[in-house]
Amino acid sequence: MVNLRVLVEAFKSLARCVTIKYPFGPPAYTPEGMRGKPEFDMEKCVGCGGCFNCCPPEAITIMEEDGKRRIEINLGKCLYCATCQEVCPEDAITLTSKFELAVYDLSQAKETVEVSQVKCENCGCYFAPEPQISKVRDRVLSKINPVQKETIEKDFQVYSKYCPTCRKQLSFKLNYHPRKYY
Amino acid sequence: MGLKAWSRVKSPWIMFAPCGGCNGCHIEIVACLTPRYDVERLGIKITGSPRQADILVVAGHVSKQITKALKRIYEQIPDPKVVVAVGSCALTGGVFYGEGDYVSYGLGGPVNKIIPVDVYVPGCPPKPEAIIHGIALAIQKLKEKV
Repeated sequence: MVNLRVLVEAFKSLARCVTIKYPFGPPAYTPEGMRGKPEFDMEKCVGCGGCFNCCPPEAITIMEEDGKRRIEINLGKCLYCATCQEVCPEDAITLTSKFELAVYDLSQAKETVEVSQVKCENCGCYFAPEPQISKVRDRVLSKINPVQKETIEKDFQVYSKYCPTCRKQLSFKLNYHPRKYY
Repeated sequence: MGLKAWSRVKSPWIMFAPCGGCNGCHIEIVACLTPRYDVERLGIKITGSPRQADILVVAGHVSKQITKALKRIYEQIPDPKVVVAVGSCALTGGVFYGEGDYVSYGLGGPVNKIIPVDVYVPGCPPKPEAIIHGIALAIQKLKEKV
């Protein structure tokens, strides 16, 4: 069957100019939901690293230094598949309709976000991003049994200050262990 | 600027070198020649011979077999020349590149491993407008070199 939309477009182009004036004018047509440059929302990102785990071409990398976690998208490697957008629990990453990404230097084709990390009070290592811990606390407390809520809230304040290794070592000394809730 | 240099910048001729891959970027480059985008209105013309070209456009991951030919094409282009790499595969290897043993056996390396690249156009594949934008940057680079 003849596609009517194509025919209509063909007849229309007899009457008007189809060529766009792109470098000097607007682009031809940007469809809704176009997958262009991926962008981070600095305030929403919790730095969980979900996008890093799911990225098919391994374009997203995580660097940890000086108490900061830097998540970086290499636009030169990105497939623009929007898997990271699907996975992100906070909707912090979206694929915008920007497409003018050409650069002279490949190291400029990057999108980064920085999240500060929590320092362990016992050994001094950085172990988890700060917003992620506060988000987890909010989520746990909103869904927990109200009878246990007070105890858990009190424990969480101590618990979130230590890295997983120190937590195991100090659990007896500080008298917090998940087993006491069973 | 002399007459020769002026005409070079005003109407740069392009040599398009498809170097393997999924053909997505190649189709988008050919789409630039269609009536809708029509790059010839900007004086840009695609030529078959590298000896007449000013700008080399490379698309696709460069397979091992074509590495030699790409080098030869680059050497045949007369001197003020600009290289544009189009698409994720040409820039970094894309899905064909991995850490350690996960590199594809047919990958001859991203383009900047073989020839010096001036303009990078990310995208998988980039829109025809994005390619035109990349070529516009390449013309500015050519202006500096002439």
